[in-house]
Amino acid sequence: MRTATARSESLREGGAVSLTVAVPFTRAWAVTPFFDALEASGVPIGTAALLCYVDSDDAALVDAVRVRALAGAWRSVWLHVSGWHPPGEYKNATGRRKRHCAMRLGMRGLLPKSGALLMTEDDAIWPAGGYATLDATYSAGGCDFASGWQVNRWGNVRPPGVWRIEEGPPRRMVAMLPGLADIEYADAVGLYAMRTTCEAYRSLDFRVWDNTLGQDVSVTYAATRRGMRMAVDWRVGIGHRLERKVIPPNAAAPFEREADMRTIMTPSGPFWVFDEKKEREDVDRNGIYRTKQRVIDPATGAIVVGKGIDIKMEEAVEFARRGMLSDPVVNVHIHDGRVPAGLETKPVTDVETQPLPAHERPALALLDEVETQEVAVETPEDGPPYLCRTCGKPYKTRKGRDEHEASKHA
Amino acid sequence: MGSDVCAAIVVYEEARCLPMALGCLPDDMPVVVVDGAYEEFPHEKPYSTDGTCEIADRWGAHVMRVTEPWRDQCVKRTAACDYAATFATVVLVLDADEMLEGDVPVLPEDCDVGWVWIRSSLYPQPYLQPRLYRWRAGWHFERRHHWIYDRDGVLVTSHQQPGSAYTHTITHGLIHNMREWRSKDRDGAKRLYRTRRNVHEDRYRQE
Repeated sequence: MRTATARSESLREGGAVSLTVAVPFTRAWAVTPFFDALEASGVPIGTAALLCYVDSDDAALVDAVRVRALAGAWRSVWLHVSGWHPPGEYKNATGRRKRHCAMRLGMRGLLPKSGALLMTEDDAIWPAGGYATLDATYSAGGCDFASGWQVNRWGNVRPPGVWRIEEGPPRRMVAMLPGLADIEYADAVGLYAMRTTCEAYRSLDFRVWDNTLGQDVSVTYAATRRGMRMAVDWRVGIGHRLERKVIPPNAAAPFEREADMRTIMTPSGPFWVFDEKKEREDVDRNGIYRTKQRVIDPATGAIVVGKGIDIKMEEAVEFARRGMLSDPVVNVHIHDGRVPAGLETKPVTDVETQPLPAHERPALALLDEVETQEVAVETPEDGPPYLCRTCGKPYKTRKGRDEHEASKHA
Repeated sequence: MGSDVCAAIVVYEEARCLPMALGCLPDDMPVVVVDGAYEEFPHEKPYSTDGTCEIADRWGAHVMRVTEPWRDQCVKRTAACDYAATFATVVLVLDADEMLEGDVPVLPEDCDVGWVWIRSSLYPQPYLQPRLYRWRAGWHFERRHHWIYDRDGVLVTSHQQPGSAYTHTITHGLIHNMREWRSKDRDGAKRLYRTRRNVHEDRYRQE
């Protein structure tokens, strides 16, 4: 596979736009059907800006997106490539969520500061005229986000990605189904077909993480709890494209789930959670450290120890504590949450408005607890057949499914 | 002078991480982005060619572009802080692979340097570093890229040692370093750069 490195460029500039369409791309096979459907959905391409965020290092994918984006009559086109190899689809849920968070934060840094926004995904198959309907729903007022709906591809269950969250306890997530009215309010939705504004999208805190809900759901639920209104238009059913087939909206089936879910609402979010728990090692007092750089006294500039000199590790740690040496190998022994000598903390005069300092935040303890728990699988599987999570091909055993995925979709 | 805090970010080929860093900043916070390679840092062009500056332009940052490489990190960071100080009274120094978490930290009126907590995948615990400066004319980075001296050569702060001539405080600022998200191909170049860094110290000793 040819690899692409990180880059960002304007492919076409055309002045003021009436709408920004933002799409993350990770799958080459999705490009053509996605654009075919989007361009027939009523999106005002001639006055819209297209932001393509290719979260991959696959040069073929980048080329496919570039060619197809330029082939459309978009007023302006921006192509961003993360140059980052995609994580294993269902391995290491924490790593995958961090990556998803990184993509969402990256898109936020590329959007205009204001204006109309359509956020969608590369595996979303829009119905003809679907955008026009959704835009009318949003424009009628009464909501901050207007969403279409799409059936999830979770193993052999098929809930729509539209949720009512019952706080309980225990917390319960219930997939909503069409039937009551054309337009309803929801507690949480995916970001596969969302009409909103750039300002509203930027207000979403992508650093929120729940250990069982998908991140889109965690993020949008946090928004509705803050008072934002999320409407779903049941007339805009979005197909869910897999490599060899499309899951249509009429495949929707009921689903609800009860679990000990905790939404971790921290300013720090999911990327505070390490993939491996790191233990601080005690300093080897007999160890030797070879200086990689001169050890200098910051106050005087005097060279205390030259480069390439062997010193005791104890000494190196002391030099690091005094700021005369900096090396991760040594720093790991001093970065223990302590306050350097000579620093003082101003007294907090207004406790209610001052946020807690990092080392006192209870969220860290919560994160540690969550980190040691088994992360609930997002793709519930009650038993055979085990469906391939990319193409949906069924297998009698989990092993057979895994071998198929490793050989066909690695 | 308008806003109270201006972010100063130095970059070179940071197309992957810069959008994430910018996306964590408040929309109305002034940002300066200073581009350019260093003389001893292996590079084909002395300026970013991956769209880093274009990303910053798109965000609305004030971008300093170069046609020649910077002498070293200290000169580049000094230029970035000098530039940022034209937009705000307090400068927040961020790297392109760092995300500000939570609110923008506040530096009390009577303080010169604010220390913030840094979270990095390299270390099990967060650690303090000076990042907020009530920047003054004549302040400059020297010897190491987090060491600041005033016009008289008096230490303002090192990365671990607060200079006694100035007032320091611990703020509630929180930064996450996304070192593990950076392009791996840059790490090799940076290791090579670090082995050559003593050259800069010799320069300062000769001047």
